[in-house]
Amino acid sequence: MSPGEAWTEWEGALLRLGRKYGFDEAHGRQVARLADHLAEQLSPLHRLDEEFRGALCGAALVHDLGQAVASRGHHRHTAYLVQCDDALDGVPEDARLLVALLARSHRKKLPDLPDGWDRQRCQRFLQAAALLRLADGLDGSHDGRACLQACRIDPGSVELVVAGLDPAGQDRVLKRKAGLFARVFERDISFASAPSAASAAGGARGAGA
Amino acid sequence: MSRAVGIVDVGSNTVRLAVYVANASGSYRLAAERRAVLRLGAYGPELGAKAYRRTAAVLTRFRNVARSLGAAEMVAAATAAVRAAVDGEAFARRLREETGVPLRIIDGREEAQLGLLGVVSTLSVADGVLADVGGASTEVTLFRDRRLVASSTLPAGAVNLTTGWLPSDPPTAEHLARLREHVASLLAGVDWLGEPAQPVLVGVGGTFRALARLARRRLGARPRSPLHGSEVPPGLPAVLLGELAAVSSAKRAAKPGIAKHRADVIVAGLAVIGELVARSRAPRVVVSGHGLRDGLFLRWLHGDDHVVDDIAAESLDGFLDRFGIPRQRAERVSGLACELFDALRDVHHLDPEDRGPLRVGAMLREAGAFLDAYKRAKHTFYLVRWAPLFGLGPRERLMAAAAASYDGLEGHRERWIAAQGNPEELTSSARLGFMVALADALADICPEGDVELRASASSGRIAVQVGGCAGSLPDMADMPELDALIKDFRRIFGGTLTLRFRG
Repeated sequence: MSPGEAWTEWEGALLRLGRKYGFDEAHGRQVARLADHLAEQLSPLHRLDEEFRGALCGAALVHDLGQAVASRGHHRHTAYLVQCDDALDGVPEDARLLVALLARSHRKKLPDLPDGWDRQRCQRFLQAAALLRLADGLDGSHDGRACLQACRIDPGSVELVVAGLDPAGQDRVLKRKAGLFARVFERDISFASAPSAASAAGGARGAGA
Repeated sequence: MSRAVGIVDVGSNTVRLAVYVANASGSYRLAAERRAVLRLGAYGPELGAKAYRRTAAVLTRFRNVARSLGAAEMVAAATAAVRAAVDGEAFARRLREETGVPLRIIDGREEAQLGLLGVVSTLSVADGVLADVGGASTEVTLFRDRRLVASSTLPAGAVNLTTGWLPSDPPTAEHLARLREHVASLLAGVDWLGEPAQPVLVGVGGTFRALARLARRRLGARPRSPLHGSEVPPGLPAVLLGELAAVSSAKRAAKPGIAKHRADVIVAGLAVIGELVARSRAPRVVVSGHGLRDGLFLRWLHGDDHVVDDIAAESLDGFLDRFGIPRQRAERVSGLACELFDALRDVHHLDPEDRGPLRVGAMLREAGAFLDAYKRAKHTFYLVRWAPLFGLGPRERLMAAAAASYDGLEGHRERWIAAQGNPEELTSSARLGFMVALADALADICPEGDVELRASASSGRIAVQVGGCAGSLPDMADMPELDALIKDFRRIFGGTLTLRFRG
């Protein structure tokens, strides 16, 4: 299931929002590419539908937007801006809420989820949040070089083969960011370096160029 | 044209990056922060290869983050752990050469100077003692009129004290007592600390921030408000020390407000703070969220260590720039609000110090329109609460947010309660908000020129005469916002309000 039309519909509005606040667009796009690629490669493990795939890409794009309000607690400020800024007028309320909650989940404590969400929806949310954190961790240096080459899924573990990344250099960051993944998917996760690719994330779809 | 710089602080517990963006107008903002807990203070007298490898990886990552945010320059300083290490100079030199980050080891005096610069540039304190409890050392600095008078560096940091004095987890009562005696004897050697009692103890560093978080939870304050400027009851560090020393670090890590990486060293850190409070005899303990990194940045920005005269004004400038608030209008509303405050002092009975939050609130009234003009009040309240604003304590900031966002008593009450404002100050904050809203309406009628405001009160009737308005005077029927304010007046102040305009 691709991010598809939902993402296409929201992408323009989210870019307008991000540019209004001078966000780090390169990092946002890279995290969106990585998140989408992770969702694709790990599709046997999750149940993310088009709605969640689109929201994942959207949240990844603008997850650091809240830095424009304040660096400390910026994940909460991102959620506020996504829900309240008029640049997103026209995007359906439930879509804004989903993107806001996901973006807020890219660091620190997870938010409380709406009372009306059923178990399946909550589970999808956690899966998407876990993928977003992982994608953000893979671009922890903001250098745009990380590229997911391959993914090995076993019953108790997942190994990601990543080019353009020195796992040793980022091991603590990735470990922290991968913690939610391990809990949600109930699998250990490890990273292996691959030779650098000529271009980043050639297989990603729908996350902009 | 804006400029960005990456500021790196290689501390004994944590290595931190702060990326600042400075505008041509002189205002600035913190664009990003990162940290890595390397515990360099625990490596002993020689840092060695493993510490080097980890630090190099972190500095490389920080350099890349700063560059991605447009920082062409970096400023980096290493403190006690690198300073004290036998291989410290070689460590720093190799890092410079191999990562490209211009790391410099600074001595205790410079560290104190920069830390103080960061504090007095962001907090309204003029005299007192500043303490920076780090991983391998504690700097204590005496300041008067915002200038450094004396400083001392003590080999007493949270990490090295834990390693050297608290071998068991949890510590025994005997070990804790010996630690406290040791810290007390170190502080006794600082001859300027102790007499006279200091007006305030300002704390920076991770242990102080943890203390502030714990204090907010203990006192029932809303957890989410900026830590910077929080006040902690002077007796609380000793109380928390007793409680946290009685449990293992694993149990401490499970407590809200204590980060996992701090759980094992917080006991030693609190022991230092407790002895500092006792020795300084300060009746107030204030936690600063800004210190060395801000000092490094400000020195880079200004080219020297001068302290801005009016930190609140400078901070306001940044706010106006960031959210596109028209300055002329903001100053007009602020000026009128202050005149109303003065004219109505026998009616509002507010503390004269509340004029400060009123002025700030009036300047920032339009902030929320940057998000959405139709819900300006709600967004203004949010932004004034959370976007960086120096020179205001937590209470003043909330009052300023309420003053800025007033759009009617119901909305004000909802926001005040949701923010867990002091219920006893609901009316005071509403009075501030009313005056700002009235000033805003008056600015529509009298956008320029000198305005005379006179208030008179008789038998519950308050009359405000507005003189000096050029041009057509309003028909009150055409100004529903004024009409609504007049109706609110009775509920907020008691009595009736009459506005009279003359040219």
